[in-house]
Amino acid sequence: MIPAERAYQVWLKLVASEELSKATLIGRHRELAERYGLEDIDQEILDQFHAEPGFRWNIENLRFRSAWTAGTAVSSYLPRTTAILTENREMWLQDMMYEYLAHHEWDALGFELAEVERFADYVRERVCRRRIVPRHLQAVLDFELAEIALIKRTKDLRPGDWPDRQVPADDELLAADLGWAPAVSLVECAYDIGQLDLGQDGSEPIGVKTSDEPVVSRSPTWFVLYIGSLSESIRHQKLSSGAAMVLDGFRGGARVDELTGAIAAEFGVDAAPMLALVRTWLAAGVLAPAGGE
Amino acid sequence: MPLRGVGLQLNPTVVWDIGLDALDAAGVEFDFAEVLCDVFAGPADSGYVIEPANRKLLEEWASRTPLIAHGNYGGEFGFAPLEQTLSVTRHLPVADFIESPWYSDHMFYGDRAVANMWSSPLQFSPAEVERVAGRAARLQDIFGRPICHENAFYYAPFPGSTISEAEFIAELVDRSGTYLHLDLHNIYANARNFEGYDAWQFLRTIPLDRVLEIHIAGGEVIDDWYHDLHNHPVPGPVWEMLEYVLASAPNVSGVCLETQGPAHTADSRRVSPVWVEEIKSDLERASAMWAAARADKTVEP
Repeated sequence: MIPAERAYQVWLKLVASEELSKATLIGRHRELAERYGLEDIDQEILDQFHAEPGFRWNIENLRFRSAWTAGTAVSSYLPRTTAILTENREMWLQDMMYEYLAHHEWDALGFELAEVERFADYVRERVCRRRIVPRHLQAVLDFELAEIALIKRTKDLRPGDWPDRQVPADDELLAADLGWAPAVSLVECAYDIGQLDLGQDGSEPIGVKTSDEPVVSRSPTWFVLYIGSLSESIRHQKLSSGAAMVLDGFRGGARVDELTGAIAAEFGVDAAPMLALVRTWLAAGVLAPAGGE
Repeated sequence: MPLRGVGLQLNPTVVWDIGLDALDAAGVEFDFAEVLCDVFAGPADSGYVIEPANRKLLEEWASRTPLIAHGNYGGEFGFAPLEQTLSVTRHLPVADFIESPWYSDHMFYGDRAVANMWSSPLQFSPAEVERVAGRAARLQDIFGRPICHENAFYYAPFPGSTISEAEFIAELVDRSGTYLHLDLHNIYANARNFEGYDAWQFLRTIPLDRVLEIHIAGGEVIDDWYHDLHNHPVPGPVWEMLEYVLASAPNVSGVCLETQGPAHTADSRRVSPVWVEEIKSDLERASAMWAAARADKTVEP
């Protein structure tokens, strides 16, 4: 009797090893028994796989499907990076995912953002080392990884953690202690990637240039990333340096009139635009009463 | 169980390329739509249970037609704790969201890598009947609605299989109290590829009174193997089996046509506008058969 779980473990070895699967296909798997630590029962399992004419399709279709599935995840959560790397060509992405998974011995991570993050490492460590990429690619990748990090953070949030997005009247607003809502990030990019068409939820067309010429300015740019609720996609807003300063001021919590008053005094600016930002951010779920009050 | 009629699986490889509006414009009609829970599930390592970008699409579809939940990569019958599988953590919320009257899974092993699934059918053995039946029964309790197991199309029986697939399925539902999602094209395809695999013996062995939903589809021969790729019109023998099952299975609530673009192999037929007429023709034929078999019953609105 062959225990099913044992057979499944052998199957996973076949998935992981192109050498073992090829050997099994042609009936030479027993020659690899020692190298792969295959006991008698494992070899019997491989005998049964080999005996099936359809085994070829098990493996071949699995490789195609694995690359396709991983590619779907990557293009969903790194849409701008993959658009730059593949010029939006589906089969180029499929090719790249095939090599990415082969590099990891076909150990796919499934429907998890961890797969996308691991692919980002692959892009940095292998893809960017073997071909010329746009100078702003790293900034785009960092931006998208910041989005992913924020999406992952939502796993730890409880229903009561989400802001109610109420905007108080002006007199209450000035006296309010506000801080960042739980799903917010402030990202500084070395390049002004706002010159690219970033889309809002990744499903919109991404306008990218394919030339190697710098297409975006090398100038620090700030974005706020935020998720208003679990029924909403992540959104971003490009910020001026001043707006970034205001938002950063609320990071650990601050009273509205004190923070805006201090910035207004230091830089000789009007507080009204800052208050307008605060109202916008409250409504969007970027800011919330500090300390959950 | 309410009668649904004849439905269409809204597979993204077809719907994204053809679009529901194009199907509407061509006069394609169906009584319900089958949705793939995996398409709408949020990443397992995020708080997104339902992917928000796709939630709106699901809401739009739900406003057009009743929806049925179909899980591909649920991992129900693998070796991880059941409560940690995508079926429970991600597909159940989708099934709840669309108010699906039942949930269909597949007779495959599954794990984190998901794509492994279609290449690893369950081992058809007495020991696995016992293990899988336990998980199936618990899954049905968790879901709070019938769980229907779809019989597999497979390229190779899993090592250690000692009984027929039909015997395995019959024993499974008897032990677990769960139901069947009878994929007639999978039976037809396996019968073409495996000597000794008798489609009609299969139908005589399984308990037809446990069948709630039926799949029909068409496939493709690639390198002397008939593949269940859902990319051609439904073949004649599948229609013959459908006629038999509709006459013999008293509890069938729906017949669903599957269509799919390339997802398993680069060699499969590409989606094109000509598919619209093929889909329409298959749905019309299925609807006529459904109407003839269910003349004394009414389809649930």
